[in-house]
Amino acid sequence: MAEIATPVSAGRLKLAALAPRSESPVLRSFLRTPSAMIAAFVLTCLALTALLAPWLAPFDPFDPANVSLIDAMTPPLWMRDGNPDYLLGTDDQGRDILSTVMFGLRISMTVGVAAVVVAMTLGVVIGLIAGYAGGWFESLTMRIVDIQLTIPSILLALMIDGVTRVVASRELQAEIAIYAVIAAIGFASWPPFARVARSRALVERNKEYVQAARIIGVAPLRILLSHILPNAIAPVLVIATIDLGLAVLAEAALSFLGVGMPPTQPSLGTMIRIGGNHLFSGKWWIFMTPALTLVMIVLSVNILGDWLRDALNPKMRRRV
Amino acid sequence: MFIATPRNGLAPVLSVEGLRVELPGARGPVFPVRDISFSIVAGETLGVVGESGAGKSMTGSAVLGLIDPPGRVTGGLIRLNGDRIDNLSETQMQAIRGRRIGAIFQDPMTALDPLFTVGSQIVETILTHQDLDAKQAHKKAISLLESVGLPSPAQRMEDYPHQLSGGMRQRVVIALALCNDPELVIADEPTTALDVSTQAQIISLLKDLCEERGVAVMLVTHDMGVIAEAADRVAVMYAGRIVEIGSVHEVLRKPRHPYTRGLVNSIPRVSRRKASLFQIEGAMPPLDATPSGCAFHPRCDFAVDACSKDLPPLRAWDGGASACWLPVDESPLDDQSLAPRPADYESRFQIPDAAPLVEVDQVSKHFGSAASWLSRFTARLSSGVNRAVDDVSFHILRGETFALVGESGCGKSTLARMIVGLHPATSGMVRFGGVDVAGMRRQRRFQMVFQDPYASLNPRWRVFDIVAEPVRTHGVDAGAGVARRVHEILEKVGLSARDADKYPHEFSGGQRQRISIARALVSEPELIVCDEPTSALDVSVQAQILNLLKSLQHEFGLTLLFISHDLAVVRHMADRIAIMQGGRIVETGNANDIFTRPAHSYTRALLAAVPDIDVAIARKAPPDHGLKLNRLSG
Amino acid sequence: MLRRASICLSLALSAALLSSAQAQTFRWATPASVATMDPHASGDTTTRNILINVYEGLVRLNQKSVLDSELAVSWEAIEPTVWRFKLRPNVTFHDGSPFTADDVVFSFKRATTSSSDIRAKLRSIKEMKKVDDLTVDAITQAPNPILPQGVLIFMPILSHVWAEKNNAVEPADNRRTGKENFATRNADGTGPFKITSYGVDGRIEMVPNESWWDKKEHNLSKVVISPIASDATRVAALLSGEIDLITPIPQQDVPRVKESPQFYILTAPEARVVFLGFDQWRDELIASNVKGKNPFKDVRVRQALAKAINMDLVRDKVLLGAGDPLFAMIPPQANGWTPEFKTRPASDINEAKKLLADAGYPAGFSVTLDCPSDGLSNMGEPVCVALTGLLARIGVKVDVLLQKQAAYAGKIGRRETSFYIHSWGATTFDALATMELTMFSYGDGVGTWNVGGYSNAEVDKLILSASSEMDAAKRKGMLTKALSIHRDHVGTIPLYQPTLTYAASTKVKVVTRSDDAVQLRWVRFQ
Repeated sequence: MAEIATPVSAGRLKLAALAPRSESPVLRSFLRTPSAMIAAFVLTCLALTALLAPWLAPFDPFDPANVSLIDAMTPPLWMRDGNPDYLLGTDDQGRDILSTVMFGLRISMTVGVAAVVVAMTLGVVIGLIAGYAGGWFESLTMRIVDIQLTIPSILLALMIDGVTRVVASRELQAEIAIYAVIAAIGFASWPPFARVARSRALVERNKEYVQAARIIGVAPLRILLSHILPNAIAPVLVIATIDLGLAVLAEAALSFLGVGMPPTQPSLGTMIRIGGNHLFSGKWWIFMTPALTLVMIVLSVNILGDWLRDALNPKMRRRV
Repeated sequence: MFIATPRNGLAPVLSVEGLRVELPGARGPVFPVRDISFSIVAGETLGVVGESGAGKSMTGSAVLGLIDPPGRVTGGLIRLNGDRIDNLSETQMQAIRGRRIGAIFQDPMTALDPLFTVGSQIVETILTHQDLDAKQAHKKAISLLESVGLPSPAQRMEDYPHQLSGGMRQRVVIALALCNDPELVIADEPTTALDVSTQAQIISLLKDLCEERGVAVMLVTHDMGVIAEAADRVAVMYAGRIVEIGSVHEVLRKPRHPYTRGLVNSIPRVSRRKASLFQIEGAMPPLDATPSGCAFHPRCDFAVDACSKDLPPLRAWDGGASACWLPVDESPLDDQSLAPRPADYESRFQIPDAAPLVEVDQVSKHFGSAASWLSRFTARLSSGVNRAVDDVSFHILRGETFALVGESGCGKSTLARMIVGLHPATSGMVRFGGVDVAGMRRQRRFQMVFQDPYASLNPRWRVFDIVAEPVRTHGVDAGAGVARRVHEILEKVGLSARDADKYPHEFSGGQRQRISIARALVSEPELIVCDEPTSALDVSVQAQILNLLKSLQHEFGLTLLFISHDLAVVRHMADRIAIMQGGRIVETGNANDIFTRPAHSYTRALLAAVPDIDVAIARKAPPDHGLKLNRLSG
Repeated sequence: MLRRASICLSLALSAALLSSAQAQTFRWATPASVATMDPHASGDTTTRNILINVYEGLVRLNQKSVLDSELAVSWEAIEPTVWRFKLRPNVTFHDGSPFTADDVVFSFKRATTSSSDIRAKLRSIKEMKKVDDLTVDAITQAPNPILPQGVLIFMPILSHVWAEKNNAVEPADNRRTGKENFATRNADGTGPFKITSYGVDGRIEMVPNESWWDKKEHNLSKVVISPIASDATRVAALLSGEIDLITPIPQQDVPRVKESPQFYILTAPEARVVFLGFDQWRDELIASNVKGKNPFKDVRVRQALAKAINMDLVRDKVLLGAGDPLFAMIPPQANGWTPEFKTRPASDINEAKKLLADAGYPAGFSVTLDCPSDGLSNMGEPVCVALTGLLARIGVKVDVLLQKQAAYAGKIGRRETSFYIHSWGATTFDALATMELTMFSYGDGVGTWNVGGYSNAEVDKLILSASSEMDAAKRKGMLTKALSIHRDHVGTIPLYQPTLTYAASTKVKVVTRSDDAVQLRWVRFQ
């Protein structure tokens, strides 16, 4: 006699949750949300482009020896004076826009993903400990979070970036640039993760399965890692998705302010900054391609994040 | 099509014919409500009873026009005093809800807006639907609050919902439901969230008010006790269909359908104790896997071939109807099971020199005293501390079942958590086998089974890992030994070894509770603390779990600390009982003594408040008005 | 009918009045605002070039950047260390007080107090002595052949009566200390324009000084100077007609402005040279992959780099024409220039590679280039990036380290660099100051901006001789010779002389000058 039953909340005038258990409800919701599918497709394409840039791109724009200053400011192919070598034209240094955007995408996405990983790791570790242990550690870290949230994160990132560069040794400046940017953005954006992780830890801490583990005498660290973390991770992932978009933007902003990546390895932000100088003089293509690419990343990441938040939150899902 | 109407020929206030509700599922639509028909006349209360997933709440929602999309009503007629209401627009339904149909939900807090006073909410509702001025509405509201038994109603008008107790809030909700003199009230589990002592009051209040005002009531509940107390007729639902309908007296005393028989039989009674409860195996099938033929046949002890092939129609008998292929069994429930058997009370544990396993010695727990310095500071400024547990002493003998009984908030769960060392005691000491619990780390001598089968298992872990965790933590039996042990235990609690690879969400509530029990058992503890282990379960599953606990206790010689608010369950389980009220133990004693000769007034009040099905059924005979089943052409 | 006609007429009249009044108001937008109204408290270019219209000195430059008399009518060196100045009579300050030798002596004292920002420029003068009411003597520390154009041009003169009355006898260094005095927000010079308003947003309004001593060449009735930091906004303000002159205009916007007949572009070669410097004194570079030796100590490496840089290409593609390639540390406007300084080493990749190989770097090397992101008229970044491309061709891998001007200047000042781009202005229109600071062997108080540590005994000797040589022709010969030696040694790689580019409405005629100063006294509405 098979004893299987749908978990139905007893005696409520509520629609019974009808999730069949054989396939993931998240996957099902994904397949039913065209906007999420399109966003995922766009993001996958961009990620693949970034990953395969060295093989896909017609030029290596990061190798100065490849750059021909004579060809600077060539307009896109379809315009007058277009050069078939440069499909989308060249920038003020003669770098092929298409290749530079591909490589810039690589940098932007690397920085974005790595910064989110840094922020997430830091935030989740602090948040979980704060939520689980409570006491002075919680008070201290959550006050820090509150304080940091009142400071614009880009300002903080600028500060961290500056300090990192001062601390770093002279000859490492160029090499550490990307790590400085990652650290700056990562350390500037951990508070939301800490908050969510803490609130999740607070909820899970009082769940009975955690109490069961405590009665047995499972060590707190093990409870945190194997019980609380896996159950706290869903909302953290949602924040991570949205934060990815913000991190890419923050990198662009840092580069735009001239403290991001070195100008010989332009990220999307650097390209937009350089392009901005030429925007009013009719050389729109230097600006437009990287700007549109950035918009696509941020937009698709945010659409995915929105969807994920709804998909992981049954209350939201029902309302859709 | 069958429709049950009262014999006296009154026109029904609510008539439902062939109602069908459809929900989209992953593999095609599913039907939480399938072709059900019933009617209710003025002043009558129809109880709709069934276990989780039977479709009873969905039926209520359908009548109210509150099915959440994408669900929808795809068949049947709903008439309210002859007017069709199943095909109305949302705007039209809004005019009917609150005016012609009142609704009472399980949680009074969600029905009331926390930002407005209760008075203003009632007045607002009256003004929306009736042509009265504010003054008249106010007056009416006060008289309503008075009629629902709220003391000094004029003052209560100014209170916010959070200032009222749960029972008072539910009274306000009833007043809200009745304020526009509706023709029909739909009450969905109106007492489930309330304490035992208030449940009975609310039930009788609802019943009296509706009878008095001639309002038809559809009372949706899982609790047979409530049905026995409050309903005139009862419809028993299973897997979206009515399997039996008839007068409460008939159906509960002489259930014709095997499911109803099992259900009634599996309810523990305060009045008697049996070695084990009758149990229906299995659980309600999920919506997308409803068995063919009679949906109950896989769980039915009497099933024949026809049961799995064809759907049995409702067949009328005098005063009711039931849907079963078997010949109608008119015999009353087993007399033996009905008769109190004092012999059951003889205890296995009257070993004269039984040593106490647990000693609770003047234990107190005060909240607000050990918090952060800031709240300590503010606490000093405010009135003081909350004494959740106040100077409690008792002991539990090795091998016995000791029950802590009390209403919610009495401190019994806090006490239980102190006994297992989850909360440190503010003062006093808990000794386990003579050792202070506060100093025990990585112990395996006591375990706990929790109330909520959904929160007590880590949803991300496989059953195997969940059950193995205590063993692994203590390092007993390494490697293959662990697997053998886990499989063994799973089979002991009625699961199969294959279940070890599944995740908790693949199991029903009852099965999860079995997993919890397996986890508690695996480290071979001496004591298991069971904190309301069945209060979230359906009666049929509750019977399974209670029986399981009993047999395991016998097999392993376990000591049980059983915490419950349900006196019937406690009666079934406990050897000795302690009654808690407001953090203190008011009475301790042998179970038999407590139930037959309660000494403390609070104990007596508690016992009096328990709805006793047998008594209630007895009271209903002979029925006030007979019911008959008419055959109507569809 | 009649009424309508009269309305039309009055409208037309008022419009005409308005436009004539409007036409006399000259509106000028600069990227930065002045820090103070006190000419001694701030020596930065923006402040100086605006206050030059309010405060005058003993001497000034004419439209061709040649020395001209201002508050002094004549001067001569009566001894090698004593210069005598005859002062202009009948000159009054804006507040009406008369200009006398006391004001000159007072202004010198005031400009050399510790809170003065320009005291370093006046260092060579030991004392100012009043001879009579209209005669002063300047006594120098050492013989100084270019005292008037090299030193006194930097000394604005204000009224001692006014300063004493208003308790402003010393300049208030408001930029560093935040302290202000009366002179911070008020002005009293002898110049052609008087300040009427100085707003907190940096907006300045001036009216002509009707009692000015000189012949009035402008036809302005009012001047409004607004700081507009954003390049794009500044250009937009010009195009919308809100502003009559913007200084400067970003190079990429030049074609757009040129398109419209209502505007024109003004250019002037700036008295400044942009150059690359390299560390030639450390035994090992601090930011390079070459260890144990310093490639820049080898002249062949420096030559190779110079040959790899095709400045004509950079001028066309990066500077968009706004610069003139050259190969000397001074611009053509400065004393010491000779036409052959215009010739750059022929750009030749193969020869450059060969030179590198001969020096022992056949595969090149890598080095970090310090670059100001917001310096060099905002051209720092594109020029540096372009250089990386050009140098990559001979195997020299350049990592550009972009920094904000402030951080960059600090690093250069501390000589913490291996390779840097920098610029030097010939503000005195004489080579000597440039050479003393950037070529003379680095030491205590000398060669302070010789960041690369170039050191040549002959150059040092020539500079020392020139600094006290009173014979102009001989002196010029020495300067040119020293510059040539430095040039042959590739002590630095001079790149180009930037072009100052302004844009103005065709309604106004503006005279540009190589020191980036816009003199309102020459502005005319047409």
